Amino acid sequence: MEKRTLLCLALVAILTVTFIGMSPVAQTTARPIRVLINGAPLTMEVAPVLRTGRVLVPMRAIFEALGAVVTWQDDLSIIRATHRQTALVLQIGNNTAWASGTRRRLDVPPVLVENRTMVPLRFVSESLGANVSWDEATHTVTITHSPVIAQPPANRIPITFWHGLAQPLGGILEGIVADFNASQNQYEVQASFRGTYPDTMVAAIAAFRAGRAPHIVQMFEVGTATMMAATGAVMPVHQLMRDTGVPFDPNVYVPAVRGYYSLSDGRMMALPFNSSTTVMFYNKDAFRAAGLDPERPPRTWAELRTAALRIRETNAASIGFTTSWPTWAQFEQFSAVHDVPLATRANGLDGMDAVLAINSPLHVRHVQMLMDMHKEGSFTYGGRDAAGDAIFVSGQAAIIHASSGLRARIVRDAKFDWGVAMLPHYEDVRGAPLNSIIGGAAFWAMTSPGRTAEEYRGVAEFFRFVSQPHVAAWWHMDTGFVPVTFPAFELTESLGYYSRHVGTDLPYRQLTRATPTENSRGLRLGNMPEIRVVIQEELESAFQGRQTAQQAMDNAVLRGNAILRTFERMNRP
Amino acid sequence: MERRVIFNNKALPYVLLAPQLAIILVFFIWPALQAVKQSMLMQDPFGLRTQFVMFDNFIAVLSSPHYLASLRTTIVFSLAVTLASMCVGLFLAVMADKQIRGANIYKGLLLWPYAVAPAISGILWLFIFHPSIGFVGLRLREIGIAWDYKLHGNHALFLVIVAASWKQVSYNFLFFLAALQSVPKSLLDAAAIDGASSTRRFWSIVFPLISPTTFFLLMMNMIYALFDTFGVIHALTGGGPSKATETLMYRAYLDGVVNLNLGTSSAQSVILMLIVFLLTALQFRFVERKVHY
Repeated sequence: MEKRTLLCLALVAILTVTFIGMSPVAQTTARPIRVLINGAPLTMEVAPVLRTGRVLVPMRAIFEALGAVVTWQDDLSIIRATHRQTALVLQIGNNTAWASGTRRRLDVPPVLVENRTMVPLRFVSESLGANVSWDEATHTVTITHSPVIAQPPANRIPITFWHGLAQPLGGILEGIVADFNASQNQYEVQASFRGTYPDTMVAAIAAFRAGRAPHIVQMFEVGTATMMAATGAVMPVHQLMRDTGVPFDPNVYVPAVRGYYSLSDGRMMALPFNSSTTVMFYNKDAFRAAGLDPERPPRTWAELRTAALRIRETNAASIGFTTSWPTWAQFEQFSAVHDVPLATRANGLDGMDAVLAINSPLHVRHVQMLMDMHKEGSFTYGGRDAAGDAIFVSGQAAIIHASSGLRARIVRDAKFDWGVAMLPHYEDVRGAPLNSIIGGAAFWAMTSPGRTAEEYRGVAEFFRFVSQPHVAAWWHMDTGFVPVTFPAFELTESLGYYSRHVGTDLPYRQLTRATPTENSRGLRLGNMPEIRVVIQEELESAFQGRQTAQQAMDNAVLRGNAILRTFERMNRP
Repeated sequence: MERRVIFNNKALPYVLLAPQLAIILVFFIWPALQAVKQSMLMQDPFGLRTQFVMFDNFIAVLSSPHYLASLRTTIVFSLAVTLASMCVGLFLAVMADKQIRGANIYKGLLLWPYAVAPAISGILWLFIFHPSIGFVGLRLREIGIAWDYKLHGNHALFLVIVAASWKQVSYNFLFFLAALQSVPKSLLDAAAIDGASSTRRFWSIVFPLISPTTFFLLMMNMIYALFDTFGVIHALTGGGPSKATETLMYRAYLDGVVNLNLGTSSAQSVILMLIVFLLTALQFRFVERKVHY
């Protein structure tokens, strides 16, 4: 009797799998549908429905029964479920779904029934590794899956990971780490916050010298040259992935991101993670008060100057234009956008013997214009690094060039209508505007005496995990950093995120708007943090009227080159 | 007859001294020797490649015009902080030493700044003098002074001097108050009977009598200004704008910790060490002679 039932079931299963897969069944809602999981009936708050041959069930019931963790994102009606190595992304009414980073087409999208989210049963179950069969005669779905067998945590290999992100970003990053730990039971990544990026860098270096380097360290982009020169202290990503055999495709990364962390022959040295770029934020209320069109932000420097002057003349804001990150925004980005070198040897990417080139006529012209704007009152120097951010958020400054990452703070704190636009350029410069370059940080694998192959494998697995489209996409949506891979951008776009949050794709579009030339691939200059300070110092002294634009840039080049030569000498093999 | 306790055990004095000597060796002598060694090496941050470069680091440091500018900043800063904090401390101590109601409350309150961590005190002053959000900063701009310590070097230097002095006033106040209270009342009474004014009594009797304290404080304040003001500068200006508030100490930090150049940073530490030797020797040689004990 038992045997016969089983045989029957198996036969029916084989038949119906093909049947269901091929031909849509007419909608028959009259007969109730039963769902059996490993033989036990699934209890559901809302009865399953049949839509064009597909069975849909309430998402909570099915995900919980399969042991998946599910989260619901209200603003875009997105369902995210993770189960071991698998991650599913579905959206109500959207035929596109993502299973472990692969785009999939659903013929029946998730729907709302009686205010419950109903998901396609077969797609969900099979994506999570279960077997599904349909019995037309009894209207029964049978699901078989093997439950998770958790390995005791004592056997896990610890992987130390030092990062430099304060809250709330650090918490989101640690959430990703927790997801990784839940996705497998061999490794346990232990994330810890080590202060600012420079603090983290110093801590990692000190730990390396003491023979106790962390497995993974997050390093800001200007530390790239220092890390790359440290052959023997870092394990290059290309080598890590080859040695451990973990599948990894560096070509999914956006070129402007990949180029920054790769050797000139294309071998990737570090894993790009949180990348940002400089964009222009502007206060639409101030634009209106000054009689400017709030939907037409300045596209060129001439337009920007006119707008800023207008804002000051009409007293629409107390500061017309300011900038955060003076060196990053007005030199590094400026050079990339205008296709002029910041330094020779492809901005240092081709060799440590690069010299600065920021005393070129175009750079001097730009500094001169900023000085003129400073004198006429349309530009106010906002201080070093990110000090300028506060004066835009408080509503004092009408236009700012700042990191795209400032968006989250503006959304939270700004009490005015604002917009975001691409960086302006000089219209008469041939080739402009090119793509902008990145800022932010990347993950570096570090070596240490006695580190085993298995530990490196854990690092590689973690790197593979964070490079998956859904992880990169969520990091992007949760934080405002740019999507670093093409699939992450596609995923975000397919969910309608950009039409809901207008302007969030602008940094990505600015990064990818041109094919990077050797002036816009990125930069790799030794002791770049120190050079940034030198440039800021010379700028400050020029704004104080103590030197001309040409003198400021000549001095910056002279002092910057001395720093580059010291770095070259320190790292001479 | 002289009474003396004599220990026959020859080793005992050394044993008793050992803990103190060990602390000095481990925390002062050994790091100092390390600094001297490192100052003649050139090394990448990770310590993977090391070269012996003799005095190259010293030459690089001393031939830099910015180092000399930094030396000048340090002198101005240290003298100003020492002078300001000692004068204010002494003035407050003289005032608090008088018979006034609630003197103990004043004394208590005047000690508070000393209990505030340098970084916190830096932020407090920032909130007062910030050109866009600071109370005083905004008023200054309203009355037409283009106050902006982020852009003007003199403003920044003034601000760090004020902040650093404010913290040290309490310390000076405490020592001056103790010194004033140990001045014999009989001397002051005698002078008063002779018809000396209070100003005259202060300069002729009190000031000379508290000179050992003044001398001690002079040294302590110089050392404070040279080495202990890192937190205030770091929190307020970070050495800027355009190096206007970069003291020798802050520069050694920048080069070593931020710019990861241990060689030149160590060379600067060695130079600082020599400056301290010189300063202390000079003070004992010339200033102490004029002090009445």
